[in-house]
Amino acid sequence: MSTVVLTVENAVARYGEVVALDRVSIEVREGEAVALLGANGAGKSTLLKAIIGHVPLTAGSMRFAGQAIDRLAPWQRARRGLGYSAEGRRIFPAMSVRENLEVAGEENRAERAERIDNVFRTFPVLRTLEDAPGWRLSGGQQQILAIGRALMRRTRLIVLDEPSLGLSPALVREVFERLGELVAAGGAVLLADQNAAAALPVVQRAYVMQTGRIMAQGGADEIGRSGILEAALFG
Amino acid sequence: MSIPSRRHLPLLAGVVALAVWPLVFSSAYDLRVFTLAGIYAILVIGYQFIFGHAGALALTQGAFFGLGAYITGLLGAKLGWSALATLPLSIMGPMLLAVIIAAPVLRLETHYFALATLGIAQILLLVAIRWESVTGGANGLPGIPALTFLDVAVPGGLPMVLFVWSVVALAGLFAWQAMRGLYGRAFHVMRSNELLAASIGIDSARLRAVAFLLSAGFAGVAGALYAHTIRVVSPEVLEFHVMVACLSMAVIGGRTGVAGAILGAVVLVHLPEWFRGLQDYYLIAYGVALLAMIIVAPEGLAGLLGQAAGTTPSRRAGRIAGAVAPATGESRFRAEAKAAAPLLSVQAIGKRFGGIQALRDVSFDVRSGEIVGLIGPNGSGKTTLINIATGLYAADAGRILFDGRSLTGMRPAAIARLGIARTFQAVHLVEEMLAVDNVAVAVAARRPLRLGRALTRPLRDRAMQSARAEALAIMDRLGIVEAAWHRAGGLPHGTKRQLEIARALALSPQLVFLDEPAAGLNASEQRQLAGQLKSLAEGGLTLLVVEHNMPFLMSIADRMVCLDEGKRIAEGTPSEIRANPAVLGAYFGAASVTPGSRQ
Repeated sequence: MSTVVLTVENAVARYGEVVALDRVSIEVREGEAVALLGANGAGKSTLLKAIIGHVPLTAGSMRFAGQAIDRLAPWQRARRGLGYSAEGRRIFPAMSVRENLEVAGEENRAERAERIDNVFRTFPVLRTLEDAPGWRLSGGQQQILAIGRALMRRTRLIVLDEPSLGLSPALVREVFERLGELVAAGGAVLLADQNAAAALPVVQRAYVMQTGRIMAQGGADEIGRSGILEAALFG
Repeated sequence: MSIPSRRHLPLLAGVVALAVWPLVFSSAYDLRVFTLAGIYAILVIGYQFIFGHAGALALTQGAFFGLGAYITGLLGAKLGWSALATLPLSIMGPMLLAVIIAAPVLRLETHYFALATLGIAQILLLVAIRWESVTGGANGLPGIPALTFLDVAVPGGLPMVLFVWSVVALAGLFAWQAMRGLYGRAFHVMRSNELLAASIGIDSARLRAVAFLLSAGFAGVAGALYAHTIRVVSPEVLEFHVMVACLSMAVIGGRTGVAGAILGAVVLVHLPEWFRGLQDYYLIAYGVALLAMIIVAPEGLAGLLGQAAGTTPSRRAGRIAGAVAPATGESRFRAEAKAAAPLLSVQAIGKRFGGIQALRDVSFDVRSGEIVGLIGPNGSGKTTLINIATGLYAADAGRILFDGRSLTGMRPAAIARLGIARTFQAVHLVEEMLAVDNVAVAVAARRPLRLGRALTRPLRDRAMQSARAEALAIMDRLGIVEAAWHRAGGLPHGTKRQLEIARALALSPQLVFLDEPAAGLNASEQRQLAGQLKSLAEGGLTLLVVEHNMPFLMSIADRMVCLDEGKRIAEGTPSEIRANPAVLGAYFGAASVTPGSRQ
């Protein structure tokens, strides 16, 4: 059995008095892609933000790469190998593709160059656009750049919020294919996406969330067939 | 008027102290400083209109002050006019300038607004220095006569102190009377959230313009009195330090209360005097004292003293609640169900933001008394559609008819007054205001708010009482009347949500847009809300509800409309929507409803 990279246990998060996460427990292993599914407002984004440290937990615990990370600041978690790509991509439009990658890289110049090379090998389209400013990229290319940026450090787990949002079906396929390759190479991916149809084929397991809780979990095929998604939406 | 209670003590003590001061410290110099403190108090009371009540960082108050002083100086010293003529002109001059600059400047956003107003002040300063033939240039205009009305002169010293402080009292009374009732609360709503203000029919642009004019007028009075006190005007009155002093006084004394303006002016004018003994170090001590005051009393000294005296609204609650019996009010909804014609007709609406087509050819109808659910995944265009219907955005294509009338081109406040109310996705309440007043302001905003009406209110403010009574009746209907006399910010989330609905109902609307009303409510609160919304619809109200909580929405909706990527993809009864594969596809991707077709 492969090593567990991330464990979240009984996580509770609140926005004021509104409970956004209600005793949520999940687990991600090396060489595995896991999806968080569910309708708007189910708590997917909140869970991802709690994992990267942008939303504090009021109860529960999180371990990443064998260590408790609850008390670490977001940048400390990033340095331990937690990569994150936010919803809406958030690339720097005025910077070139290379610069977008460089700003996220290691301090060591040689290491950084090697990382960029690595990203370019994984996503050849970025090499062809190396000097193009971010704003010139299509939505799908921007999403790939955002994922590439999350890979600029030694990343043990990459966390993606709505990678398919606003992309055409063809681009969604391409983005998810690249993610599949990353996982095949031994990385781990945790993604939250509404587009279950696009996400399920590339993940091994999925958690279905509803109003802040995990209402179901299982293998990707099982989740796709069982009518759980319909129940998650309509109750 | 009630017997002065404990909460009036600081005010009484302050008035007594102000009255005794000039009699005790009666050296000529002390009296002159005290006169200046009064003049600054008038300036700051005026500045509170735009800076405090309207919440706009205008940096023109010093310029208005200088202009008032120059008008008095020019007409008094050069032409020998009496104060009977120069004083009104010194008020009108700055107000005229305010009218001229209001149109281009008041629309600007915060820091641009501050910069633009600063620029205007600099232009006036340059004119005063360079236009030597008229203004006397850097030397200014000497020989301004003492204040004289119909041959009766007000000599310097104690008479001038009394005159200036009488004007302070009048100015304070004016500001207090204008702002103590619903008019002042409308300002409070506006400065806390302009979007919200528009949604309940408050015309922010108008309120801000009125506040700007009042500020200018008060600054003109202060400038004229300053010229008569110092008897010389030079470009110094237009320099930035006057503006800085005025701003500091408003921040340190308090941004909105008259007592704060007076306190700020008296303390800041006297602070250099008190620290004079420190000689070279006095500026440092002055700075430290200012900093300390800001840290100790971020709400201003007046707020600090009020807290010390225990002036909290809940103490007053019982009394006012007793005075205002909750009205037994029947539904006031103007619901004349015209069975055939739809109340709201969305016709081929299109909207584009940059490269994103947020809405594309969306059409649907809402009939009177119906509850229609508007659903769709994130980014499908639901809120954009509401924002177009309520006038916040303009559509690129199509039109929306309300009761047969096109809403195109109408301002949000006008649409609200037409009978369309809304609530917001996130809770938008004026947190520091009483819950009942959050609703009462919306009751008041059904009629255009007018300064004149506010100024002529009797002491026992019946308009306020009847607005509160109506607010209480609405809150009673929603079962939240016991929260009425608490500050809105301290209420539980569920109550806040219902308070927003109460505020929407206060507009006597025919149609209410509810943006995620069930968000964050627990199961029993959701059931309660569902029951209330259904009974409102039975009473003739029409509801368009955006909601992600499908079990909740399906339990109340007569029909549902589903948007996806800006297009209307489905419409029907809840059970039809549930059975429609396109809806599940919109939420979870096209293939998720036909398992096995993947791979």
